[in-house]
Amino acid sequence: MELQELKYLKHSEIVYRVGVGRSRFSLAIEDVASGFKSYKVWALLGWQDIKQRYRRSVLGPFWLTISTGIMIGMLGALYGQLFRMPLDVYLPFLATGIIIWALIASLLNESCNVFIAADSMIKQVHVPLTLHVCRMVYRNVIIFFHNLIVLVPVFFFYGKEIDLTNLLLVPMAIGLVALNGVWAGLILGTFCTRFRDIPPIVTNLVQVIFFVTPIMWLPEIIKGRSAAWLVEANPLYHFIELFRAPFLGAAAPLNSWIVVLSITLIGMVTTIFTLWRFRNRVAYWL
Amino acid sequence: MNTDVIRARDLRVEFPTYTADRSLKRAVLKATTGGRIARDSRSYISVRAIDGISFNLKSGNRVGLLGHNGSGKTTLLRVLAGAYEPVSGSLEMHGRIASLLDISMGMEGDATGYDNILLRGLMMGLDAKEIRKQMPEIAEFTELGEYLDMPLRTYSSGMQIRLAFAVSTAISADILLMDEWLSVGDENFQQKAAKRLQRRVDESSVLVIASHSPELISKVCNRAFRLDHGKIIEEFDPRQKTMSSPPEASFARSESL
Repeated sequence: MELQELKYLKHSEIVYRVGVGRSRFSLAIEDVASGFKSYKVWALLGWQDIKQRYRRSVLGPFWLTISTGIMIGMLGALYGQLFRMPLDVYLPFLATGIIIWALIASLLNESCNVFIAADSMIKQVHVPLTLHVCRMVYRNVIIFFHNLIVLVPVFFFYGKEIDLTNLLLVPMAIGLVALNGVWAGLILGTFCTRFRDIPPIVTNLVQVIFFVTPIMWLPEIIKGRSAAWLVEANPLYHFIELFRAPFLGAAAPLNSWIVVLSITLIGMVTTIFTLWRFRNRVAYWL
Repeated sequence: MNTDVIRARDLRVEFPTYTADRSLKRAVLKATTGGRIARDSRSYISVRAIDGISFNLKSGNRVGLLGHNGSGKTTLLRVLAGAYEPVSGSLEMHGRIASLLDISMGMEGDATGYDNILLRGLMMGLDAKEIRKQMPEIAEFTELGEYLDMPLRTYSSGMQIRLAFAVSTAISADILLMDEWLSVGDENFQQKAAKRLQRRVDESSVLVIASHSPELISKVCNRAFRLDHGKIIEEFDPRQKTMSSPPEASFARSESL
């Protein structure tokens, strides 16, 4: 066999480098940066996930809208009576709370499996871990927007006037939930890959938190009682408040914004630290 | 061209093997007890799959990796693919890498053939525009026709592999990684596939292929590494050295296990 003639590299600008003058810290930063940057890839993959899930159904993701709608309708009718509350107070509160909670809960639950589900890809090709997480978050945000439709009839029939300037804060609230989903996905995903006992613990916690967070019951009910601190001390309450309050006629209180923004900041710093220490181990743990 | 396409220095890869030790309980105990018990429970077994491998590959190098099962061939390929990051050592690679280690990676049974072309292409690092441009060519190569509009799970396994092969070999890359020479489909398709794969190999700047077949390596490669226990124990020119007993012997040994 004759010697191959020498070829020029067609893609010589693409360089993959490990261990050569690159600290693990800078690799962690790069993982997050290039993960966010490949939004075309994760958006398409996330969209494919949705398509796959509802491939052969006529209504597709609108099944979610319907099931969320039915749940809110039933719970609203029942608990409205239990709590002796008029529907025009209770239903908007319940609907906004459940919809944002559904997003938060699925982000937390799916965070646990985000790398385990992508294992064949992680073991074959070099892709930033952040990309898998962004795909998961994006997919859940799409589902969330389908659920959002439920709010239309709720507010049409039962809603009070909504202050539009307050509503401007809603996209910001959704964005913050998604951003926090990214760091939670990176941290939980990493640790759940290593310790397979964590996912059931998280699922369980999420279930419990649903009941201790004011989603089905109004925070006013518990005011002045001994368990009242549970509300303010619950970080997820503040995330929900950010989204819910504008629909109910008031901007979220300042302290909710402070809590959420601090959690976001602490979470991001912790994530970089986690990636710095464990990013390159994830493939080996799968 | 004198610069190295791949430069590897003292690569080391270790696999932690957790069984039930994956559990949180152990880790918590480890953290809280300290001292003697911690030292004992810390000693999980780790397998050193790559143990200090160094090499430089230049443009035009076709490298064959030989060695029996568990000698580190596939792990080395995965390190080169960027999936496993070495525990220590350094690695520098220039150019687009095409990993043909598992060509059906990322295929979805419920998605159509066309969607699968897109998915697989994305996972190989192509962007959607590039894939759409290649789509007609890929579709034609598979000879699957209208099947491409149907979900993948309705395909026979041979058809699935054909699709996977067509996408995986759709673009030329600078660095081609292969675990055994890919051979797919029925007789007709096999010839067509072999031609296409050969073209990709010719276009690539560097090829690294792991194989159990010394004949294949002497046919395709101009350098060969023999691996054993994660080390390169021998480098030779497969075109000159007539393959003597060692590869056959070790191959036979591993097969008889």
